[in-house]
Amino acid sequence: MLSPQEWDVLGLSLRVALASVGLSLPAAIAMGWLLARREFRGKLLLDGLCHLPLVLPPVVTGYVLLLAFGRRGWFGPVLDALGVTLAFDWKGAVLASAVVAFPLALRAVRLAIEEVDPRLEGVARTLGAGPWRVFFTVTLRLAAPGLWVGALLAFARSLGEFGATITFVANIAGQTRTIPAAIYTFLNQPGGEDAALRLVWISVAVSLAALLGSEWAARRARGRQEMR
Amino acid sequence: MTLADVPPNLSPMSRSRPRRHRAAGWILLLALANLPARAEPVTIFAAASLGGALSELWPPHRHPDVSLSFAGSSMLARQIDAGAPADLFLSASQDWMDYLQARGRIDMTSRIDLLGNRLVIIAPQGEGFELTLQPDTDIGAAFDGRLALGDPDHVPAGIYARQALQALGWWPALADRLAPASDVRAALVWVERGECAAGIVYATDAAASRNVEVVTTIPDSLHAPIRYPAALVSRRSTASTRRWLDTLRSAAARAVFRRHGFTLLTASE
Amino acid sequence: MLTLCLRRRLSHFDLNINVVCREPVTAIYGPSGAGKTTLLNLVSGLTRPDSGHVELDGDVLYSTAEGTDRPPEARRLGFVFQDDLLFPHLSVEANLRYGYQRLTPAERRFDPGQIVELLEIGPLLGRWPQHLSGGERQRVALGRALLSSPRMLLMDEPLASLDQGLKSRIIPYLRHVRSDLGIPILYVSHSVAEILELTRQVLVLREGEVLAHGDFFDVARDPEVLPLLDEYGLENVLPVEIVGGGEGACTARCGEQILRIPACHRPAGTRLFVGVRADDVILARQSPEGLSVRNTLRGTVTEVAAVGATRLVTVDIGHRLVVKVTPEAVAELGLAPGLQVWCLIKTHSLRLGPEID
Repeated sequence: MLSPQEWDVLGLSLRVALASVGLSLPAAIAMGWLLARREFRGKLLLDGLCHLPLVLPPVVTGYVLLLAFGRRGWFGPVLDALGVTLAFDWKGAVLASAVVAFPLALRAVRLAIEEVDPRLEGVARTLGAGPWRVFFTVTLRLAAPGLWVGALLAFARSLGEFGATITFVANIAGQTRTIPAAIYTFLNQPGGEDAALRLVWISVAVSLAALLGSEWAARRARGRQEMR
Repeated sequence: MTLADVPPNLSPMSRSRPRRHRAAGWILLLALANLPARAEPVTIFAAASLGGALSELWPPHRHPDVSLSFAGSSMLARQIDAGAPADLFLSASQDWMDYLQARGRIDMTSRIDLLGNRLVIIAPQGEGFELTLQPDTDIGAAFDGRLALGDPDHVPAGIYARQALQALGWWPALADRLAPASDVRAALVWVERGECAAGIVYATDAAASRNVEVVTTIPDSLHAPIRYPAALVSRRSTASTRRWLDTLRSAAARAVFRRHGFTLLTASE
Repeated sequence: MLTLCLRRRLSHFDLNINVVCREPVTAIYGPSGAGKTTLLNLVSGLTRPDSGHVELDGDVLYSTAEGTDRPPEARRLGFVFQDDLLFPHLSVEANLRYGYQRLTPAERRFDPGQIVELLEIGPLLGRWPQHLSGGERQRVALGRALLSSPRMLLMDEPLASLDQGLKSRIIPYLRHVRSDLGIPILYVSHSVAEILELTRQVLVLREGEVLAHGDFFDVARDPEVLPLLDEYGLENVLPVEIVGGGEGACTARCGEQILRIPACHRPAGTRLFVGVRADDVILARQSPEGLSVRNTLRGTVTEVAAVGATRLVTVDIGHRLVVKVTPEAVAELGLAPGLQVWCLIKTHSLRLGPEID
């Protein structure tokens, strides 16, 4: 049904998107908790910074990533010392996707945490649970439906991420040529419309599956806690 | 052509008796109606690599009548195919002009090969390296990391580059070490930043940048001729737009193109 | 013994508490906004005072001077709120075990079976908080707090959102907790009747300051406290002893006076509290005749206090009785200290209260 190249592209896209969720969601949870539960000076500024990848053109985001994490970038020497290469590597594609997906996940997660009654967290403390235990057994559990939404948004955005990726890690088949990049490549070739269309259908199918999966998971999580 | 070019005996300022004055007015009106409307605005879709040159030829503040749209040739061609309001198309590759011609979107009679270009191998400024263009050169050892270039799958500059690399026998060594960019300017940026130790771009791109140095120029025998065909879009081929196309071959235009590093092809008018 | 010395700046006033609570149950009474909930939050550690000292049985929980600030999870103080705050994502059983499962066997004072039986929540174990009634949820919340083996219970108007019937059903459980389990309680309420079910030791709070602290009946005499008591409808509480039964009513003795109270099915000699609201007492200058009212108690006016637009007349009938009348009535009847009056109380205006133990 799918050609080997199409399997490769699909597989790479899924790996990059899942890894991107794995990177952006925890960051969104940490930041979401901070913004939801704490007041401090500069909070508005931090909030704005977090949303920057949402409003910047993706190519600009990609360029900033290049400036920061390229071999000659600000963190280049650090990465070199750790033996990590991000530019022109699928790991860089993961980073690019995670950065553009982060604001979307953050919004969903923050909203979900804000909806958790802080008094429930207080009760849990009086019952003997320390702050971390409260976070994992009460806050996160109750915010779970929103976390699934955040994960879905991050996944979908990563699946469709193109501009930042192509600027930061190029369009290397097998390494960074995800579905959107492959579609772009085909569209740029005379007569490539059919191949592009096939990939379009594949990405629609994957996105639908992700949407249904996350909806189901969110519903299950929500079903446990119908509010009075 | 302006009103100043009108022959004196049609000028409304000419002295004549009242009756001939009115007749002259009618003649003037007719003549004006038939004049090529030089002031009519034009929309030009051009490949990105022509950006610098065309913007210099027609600066926006002095030529508000010229609308320039720069993008990859493939994107522009698809837009024109879908009915975009372009009058003129300058492509960086024959393929996309052929594509439009096959679909009847361009006026075949107006098609000309306007410019040529050369490929160069570049390195970050101050980090040039020795390189001889021989098949037995160990190109793999000549530089570290990846070679930046336009995507050989679809970017014209990349396609030409691959042809050259294959002709030199260097393709097997480099095929896994490519950094394919969505357009040749992005490849240039990577080399400028030192992200890539080497790259293949147009001579015109290298000339426009201060942060790269040319390691060597690739002989055009190693690849298909780099040609920038120009043509009028079929539904919009008028005398006015033809004049604009002709302007591209004028002495003034050729001087600009030469200054930017393009190779001039057609004989000047 | 709980030592509380707390200072905290609030939006409208400063909270300034300096008390020592020795009784097993201390009620905290005050109008809304007085700082009662803030006080409990400070004691529990959920809020930090600006300065102060909190010590329970010699264990310093907070001290600005010593730099001690035990986090809530280390204070072992159970907290029951007006909203039960059961965890919606856990079953009743999981809720109960939330605090319990973190304790070592040595720390566990109570065993789940014991608490479940005490509060009669066995049938509820497998269910979810959303499907329980208000009374059931509060019992579960109480059980959850108890199973965390607290050294003290903090209760913030736990029965406020329940109807009267439910309240009277849950109060016995609270008395069990007090008497059988021996856990001291800090009980916030704005219902005098509710408080008196559990204790006579009351702390009256107003705008962050302690207005009075001590036995309720002593404190209630304080003219500054009286208006506060009326805020929610002052209810007089009279201690009586059952003398005999009858058709639809019982006879009881309050001091020297005889009262007809609603049927209570208790043996003669039982001592209990009955309550009558200040609004429900009628004053008369003469003993009336031909009225359906069964109780006419003779007494002397000891005080006439103005509270807002009404008047609270304190009458000594062998026991203190506060009656709410209009200024017009005061003027017309010439109500003044020393005047002899009759207090008319319908049998059905009397509410049976808890037994006096």
